[in-house]
Amino acid sequence: MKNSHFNSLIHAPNRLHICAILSASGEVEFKLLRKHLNVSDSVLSKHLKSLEEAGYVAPAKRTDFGRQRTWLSLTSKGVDAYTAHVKELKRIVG
Amino acid sequence: MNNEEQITNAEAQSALESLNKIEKETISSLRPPLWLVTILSLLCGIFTFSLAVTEHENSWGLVMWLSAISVVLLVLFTRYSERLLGVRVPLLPPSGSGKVFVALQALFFAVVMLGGREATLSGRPETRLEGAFPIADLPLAPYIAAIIVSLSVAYLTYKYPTNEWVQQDDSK
Repeated sequence: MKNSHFNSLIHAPNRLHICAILSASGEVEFKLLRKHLNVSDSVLSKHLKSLEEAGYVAPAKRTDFGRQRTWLSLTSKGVDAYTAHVKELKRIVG
Repeated sequence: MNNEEQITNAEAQSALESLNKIEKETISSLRPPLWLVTILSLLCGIFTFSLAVTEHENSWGLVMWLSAISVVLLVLFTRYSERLLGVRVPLLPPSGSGKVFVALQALFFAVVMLGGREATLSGRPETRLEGAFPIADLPLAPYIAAIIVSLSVAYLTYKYPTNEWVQQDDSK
């Protein structure tokens, strides 16, 4: 079965979870995302790097309450890609 | 980056179920506590009621302003505590469906609030235009509008804390 909107980058389990969390909640801090996914810093960074390179995730470093925090959110391209991917999954299921 | 891939029906089904579970978990983790939802919905109800019955010669105008300020403070407090927890919910959701959802909510609340006020004013003989038919001669109009707004705020805050339109299929 050929799927034109199927996105193999997003479909990897952890990356799919990252996109689902970000799409449901807007901007999420790195530490909270790591806690949700139950993975190490390096694993999460690796997944975020690939999503960032594709232009799907935008990281932002900001100092809040006196400490540096990394906030992550989906870009509009990321929202579109994630939405199209979920639609494609639904189409496959029928 | 769209790659053409082969995926089976069962794999797609499994991925969708996993997504549904994650979205539900995310929403429940962002859900404000019940006491806050209750206070917020009551304040919105009080605001709607006072907006409907306020006049120059009564003190409901003061209640309206006090309830509006309290709602704003409560929303700011919620956003501050969310930020401390590591989440920043945007005022307007990034997705198109989320934006439509927020726009429909705004329209709904505007119609109920203004409708409640108009119905209350139209129901009073002293404010009714001469010869106008009393289409909304409802003494209970402010109460009905307040209850509708209060219940809707409670439901929407509890079910959709991020303002994002997420289908919550309880069957899965």
